Amino acid sequence: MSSLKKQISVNSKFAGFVAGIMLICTPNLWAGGDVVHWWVGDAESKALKVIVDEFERSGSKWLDTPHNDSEAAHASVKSRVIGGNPPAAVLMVVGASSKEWAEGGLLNDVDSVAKSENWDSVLPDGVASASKQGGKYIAAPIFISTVNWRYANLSLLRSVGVDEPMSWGAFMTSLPRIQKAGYIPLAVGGQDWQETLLFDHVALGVAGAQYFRELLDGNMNTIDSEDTIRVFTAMRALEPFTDAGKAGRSWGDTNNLVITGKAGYIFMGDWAKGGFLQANKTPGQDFSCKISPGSGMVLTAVDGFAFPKTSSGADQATQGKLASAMMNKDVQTKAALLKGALPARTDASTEGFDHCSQNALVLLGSGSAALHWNVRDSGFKGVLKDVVSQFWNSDMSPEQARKMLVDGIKQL
Amino acid sequence: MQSRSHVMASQLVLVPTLIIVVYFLWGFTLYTGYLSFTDSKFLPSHKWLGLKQYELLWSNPRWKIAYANMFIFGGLYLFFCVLFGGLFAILLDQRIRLENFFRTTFLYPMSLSLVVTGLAWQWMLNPSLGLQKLAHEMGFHEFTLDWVVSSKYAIYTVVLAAVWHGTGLIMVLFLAGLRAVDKDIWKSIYVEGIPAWRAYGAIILPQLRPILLAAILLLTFNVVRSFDLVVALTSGGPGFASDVPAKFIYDYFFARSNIARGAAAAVCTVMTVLLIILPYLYLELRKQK
Repeated sequence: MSSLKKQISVNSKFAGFVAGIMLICTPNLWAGGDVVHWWVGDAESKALKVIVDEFERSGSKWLDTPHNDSEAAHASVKSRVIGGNPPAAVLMVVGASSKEWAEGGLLNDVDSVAKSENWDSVLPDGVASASKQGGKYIAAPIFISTVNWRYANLSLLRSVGVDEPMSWGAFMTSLPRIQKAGYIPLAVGGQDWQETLLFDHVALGVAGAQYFRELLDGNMNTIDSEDTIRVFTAMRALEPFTDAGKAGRSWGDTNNLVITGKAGYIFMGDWAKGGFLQANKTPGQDFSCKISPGSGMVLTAVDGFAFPKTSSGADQATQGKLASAMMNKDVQTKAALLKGALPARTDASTEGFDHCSQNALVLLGSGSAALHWNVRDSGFKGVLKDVVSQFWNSDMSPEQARKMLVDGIKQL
Repeated sequence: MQSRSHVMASQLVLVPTLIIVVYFLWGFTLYTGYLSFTDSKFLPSHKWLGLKQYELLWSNPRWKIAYANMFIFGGLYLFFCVLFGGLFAILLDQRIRLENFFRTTFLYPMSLSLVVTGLAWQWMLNPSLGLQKLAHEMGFHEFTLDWVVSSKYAIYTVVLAAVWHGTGLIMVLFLAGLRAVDKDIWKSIYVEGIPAWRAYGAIILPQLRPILLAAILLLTFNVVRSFDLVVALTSGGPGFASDVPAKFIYDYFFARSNIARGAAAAVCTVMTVLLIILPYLYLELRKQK
C-alpha cells in the first residue's frame, strides 16, 4: 500500500514537472520573442548573439528555437502559423522565399518600423525590393552574402608555376598543369546544392552575366538556346579535373582540400572564407578570392528575418522591436564581421573587413555588377537542382539536360 | 447483466482510439487524396484541377526513377531478408553451441536506428574513406567498390544496408515458428529417416506460412516508408538515381512548395502497395481459414 502511495506521489510530481515544461515551452506565455533559425554553426551563432544582445538590451526576452536546416525550420513555422501559434520571427533567404510566404498570407509586415527608421534610404535598391511585398517591408535584411567566389590556393599555384587565371579560358588551361603536378585541380563536393552552385559559376563564366540573368528570369528562349548546351558542355569538361572522393562530400571537407594544399581551386560562397582565415591563411598571399572568372558579376543572397502573421498587439510590438534590433547599424557590422558576410545597410561601417569583402563591396557599390540570386521560387530552383545534379552524376548529354530543364520548368 | 456492462465499458474505452484513428488516419488520407486533385502549391488550395497533377507527375523523370526504385528496393529487400532470415533461423534451429551469441549478433543491427545504419554504411562504402581505401592500402590496387557513388548501382547499396538491418528480425520470427513445431512431427521424421533438407522443405517450412505473411507485411511497411536510410546513405543521389517515393513526396511537400504534386505521388505510392498487398493478403487469409 505504502509503495503504491509513494508511486502515486512520484507520478503526480512527474506530472507537475511535465506540465511545467509544457508551460515553459509554450511561447505564447512569454512576453518575449520566439525566433526560429538554423544559424547553429560556430561563426553563425556568434553573429546571432550580437543581435540577441541588442534585442535584450531593451528588457525583452529572446527565446531561441534553432533547427538543423532551413527546410525543417520552415516546415515547422508553416504549421505553427496555420495552427495559430506563430513564432515572432523566422530566418529566411529574403526574396522569392519571403514573397512566397507573404503571398500565402503567413507574414506580418514591419512597414511602420521601416518607415520610422527610413530603411528605404539606407538599403541598396536590390535589397530593399527583395525585402518588400506589395510595397511594404515583410522582412528585415541583415546580411548580404556573395555566393560566387573562386578561392585558389596561391602557394600551390606558385609551386606548379601557374599564374592565377583571370578568364575562363586561362582557368581551363591551368587545370591540366595542376593535375600533372599531382594535385586535385578543382575541389567539388557531392551535395546537389554544391553541384548547382558549380553550374552557376560555369554559366556566368562561359555564357556570361546576361545569359545568367535571363536564366534566373525564367526566359524560355534563353533556357532553350545553344548557350545552355555550351554551359552543360563546359561543366562536363571540368569533370576529369575533379577527384573520385567527391561523392556525398560536404562543402567543409571540400574546402579543406584547398586550404590544406591538396587541391587548387574551389567555387563556393563567402562562407568558405572563414575556413581559410581560421587556418591562419592570409588573403592575397596564401589564398585568393576572385569573382568567378570571366563573369564580372557578383551574385548575392540576402539573409534576414521575416515575421509570421499574428494579430496580437503585444506580439506585433515584439516583432517591431526585433526588426529594429536587426537593422541596427552597429549590430549589422559586428555580426557581418563574425559571419564573414556584408552588412545589408549601406551606411554600416565596413572597417576591419578583409580585402575579399572589400572587393565585393566595390562590385556591389557599382550596382549593375550585382545580381540578386534568390529571385525564383522553390519550384524553379528544385527543377534546376534536379537537372544539374542528375546531369553531373550520369552520362546524360548536354542536349538531354537542356530538354529536361525545359520540360521540368514547363511542368511546374 | 454484468457481462453486458463489461462489453459496454470496453467499447466505451475504445471510442477515443476509434475517433483518433478515423480522424488522423482516414481523415488525413482522404484529405491528401483530395489535395492531389487541386492546384495547391505553397499552401492547400481548393481550385479543382482534376487529374492534371497525375499527368505532370508521370511525365517527371525523377518520379519515374523513384517509383521504379521502390520495386527494385522492395523486391530485393523482401527477397533477401526472407532468404537470409529463414536460412539463419534453420541453422540456429540445429541446437548449435553459442546459439545465444549468434542470435544476438544477427539481431543487433535492429537496435540501431536507420540513420545510424545509413551513415555507417556510407562511410564503409565511400571509395575514399572505407573498404576500397582499406583494400588499396593493403596492396590490392585493382579493388574497386564504388557502388554508393555510381548512379547505376547506388540503389543496391540501400538494399544492402536495409537487408543488413532487417534480416535479424525475420530470423527471430522464423526461429520462433520453428521452435513451435510439434515435437511429434520431428519424431516421426526421425523414425521415417527423412533427410533434413527434405524435412524442412516439404514438412516444416510449409507450416510457417502465417509467419511468412507477417514478415512480408512488416517488411512492406518498411519499403513504403523508407526515407531515413536513403537520406543518410545517399540522400537520393548521385543525382536522383537512388530516390524513393517517400523522399520525393517530402521534397515536394516541404522544399518545393508543391503540395498537390506531392499528394499525387503519395496517392500513387499507397495505391500501388495496396494493389500488391491486398490480393496477397486475401489469398493467404482465405487459405488459412
